[in-house]
Amino acid sequence: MTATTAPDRASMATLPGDSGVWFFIVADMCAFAVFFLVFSAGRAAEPALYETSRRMLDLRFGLANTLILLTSGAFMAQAARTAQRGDWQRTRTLLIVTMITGLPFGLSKALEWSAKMAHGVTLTTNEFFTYYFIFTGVHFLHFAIGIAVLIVLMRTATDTAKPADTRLRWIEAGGAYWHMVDLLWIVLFAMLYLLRAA
Amino acid sequence: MSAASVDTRYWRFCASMGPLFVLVFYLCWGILGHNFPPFSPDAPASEVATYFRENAGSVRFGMVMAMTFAPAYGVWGYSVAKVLEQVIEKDSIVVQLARVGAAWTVITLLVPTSFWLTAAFRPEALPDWMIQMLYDMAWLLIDLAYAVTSVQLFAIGAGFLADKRAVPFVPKWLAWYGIWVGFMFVLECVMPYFRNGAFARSGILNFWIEFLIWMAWVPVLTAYMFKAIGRIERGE
Amino acid sequence: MSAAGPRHAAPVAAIWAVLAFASIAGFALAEGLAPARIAATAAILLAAVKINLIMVHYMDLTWSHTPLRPLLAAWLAVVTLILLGGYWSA
Repeated sequence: MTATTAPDRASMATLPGDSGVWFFIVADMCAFAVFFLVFSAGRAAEPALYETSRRMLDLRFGLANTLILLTSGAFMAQAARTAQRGDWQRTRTLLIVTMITGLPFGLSKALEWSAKMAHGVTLTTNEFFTYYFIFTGVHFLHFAIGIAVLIVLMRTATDTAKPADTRLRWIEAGGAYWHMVDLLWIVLFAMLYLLRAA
Repeated sequence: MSAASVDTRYWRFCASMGPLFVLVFYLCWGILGHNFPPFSPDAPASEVATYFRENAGSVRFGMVMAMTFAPAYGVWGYSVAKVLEQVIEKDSIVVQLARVGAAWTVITLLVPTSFWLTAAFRPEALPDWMIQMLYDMAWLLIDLAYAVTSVQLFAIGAGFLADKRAVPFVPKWLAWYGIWVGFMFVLECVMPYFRNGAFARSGILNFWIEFLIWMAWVPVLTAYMFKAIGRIERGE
Repeated sequence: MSAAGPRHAAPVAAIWAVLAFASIAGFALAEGLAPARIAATAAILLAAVKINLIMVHYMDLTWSHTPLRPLLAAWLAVVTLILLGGYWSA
């Protein structure tokens, strides 16, 4: 940590990304916290239903999705560090890799959902699957927006019309959003797939 | 752009219509109309019908007032758009969208309130299921019309984020808050699939959170509009 | 962004390896390597550890970033308690 620790100003000066985007991220994470609360309360009320439903999930999809997002997130983190050094060409390449390694998440999700639906399991099958489809669906919407953000950032990285600190700010802000998509999935993975009942 | 004096007459009056709308709508549509919170979709038709028959007078008054004050939301939205014109060019599509988003929202408030009013017009002559159907229909419309208001929320958010002033008229967090509210509304898409639980029209997510985050946005944004109008008059 | 360069020296690849290992461990425990209650509790705690690593090393946040860092820490604590509470009260 650096020596500049005059509390408020220092924290704003070194905050990665954009304070407005961080506000959005925190608000969004709070909405997901309500999702988790609703799910946990439902599970506590009907553990047997939740366990039989959970057993219908393929844990390998959950793990694969987690590893995909973690890998993509690692490239995103590397992209932000590279941007901090001002190596914009390499930042752009890393952003492209971030997107390419992240895209299989969409494919995996599509396969998983269609397999469920092929077995007649849908949004209204039971409470567990209501939450499963809505939470993973809303999460997928975040993922899709994240892919669009990455495409914009690729242009931003090498857009010489913009000052370097502006480029860095948006790459860090977009990166923070992408990491949020990642960490929300980590909770969903544990909550939906891994809570085996005794 | 703001160097030449701007005619801000009526702006404050129009801006004050936003909080007034929220207050009147809450009391008349919400409390008198038994919509805050609504009857659960699980509630038997007889329960809804009995309420409408026994309280026909107050439901009618509530809906008449709600319809009378619905345009206040649009008037407020236009005042926000006038302030937005001082941030980005008048002809910007963002300003246009902020304006029509507010105007369209008025329609999505007026039409469903007329359905509740219909249910309260001669409830003694209507079968229970018909009153329930009108009640359902009104709720399906008011909830699923969310995207109309999202247009306004996104436009206002994106517009004020473009503010280049050292201290912008609308703080970044509030602009992003509005954009977040517009996204949160998407949850209403699953509302028709549920008759109970968090995603039903009376549930924690699709009623309490969705309505409260929107109703809170209006007065908070209005407070910043009043500050902004003062700054525009001082030529900032 | 500071002149001192990246605030966190830990290489991204090392963090990634820890995150991936924790994910596979949680999966293996849930698939039967451990009794149910231990596996589920471990899955929740591993998720919390992973999220904290992401906040520190991927999101690049430090405790000097107030109020953001304390807020996110509180969020993580609340979510972890919600999941543990929901599981253990069933």
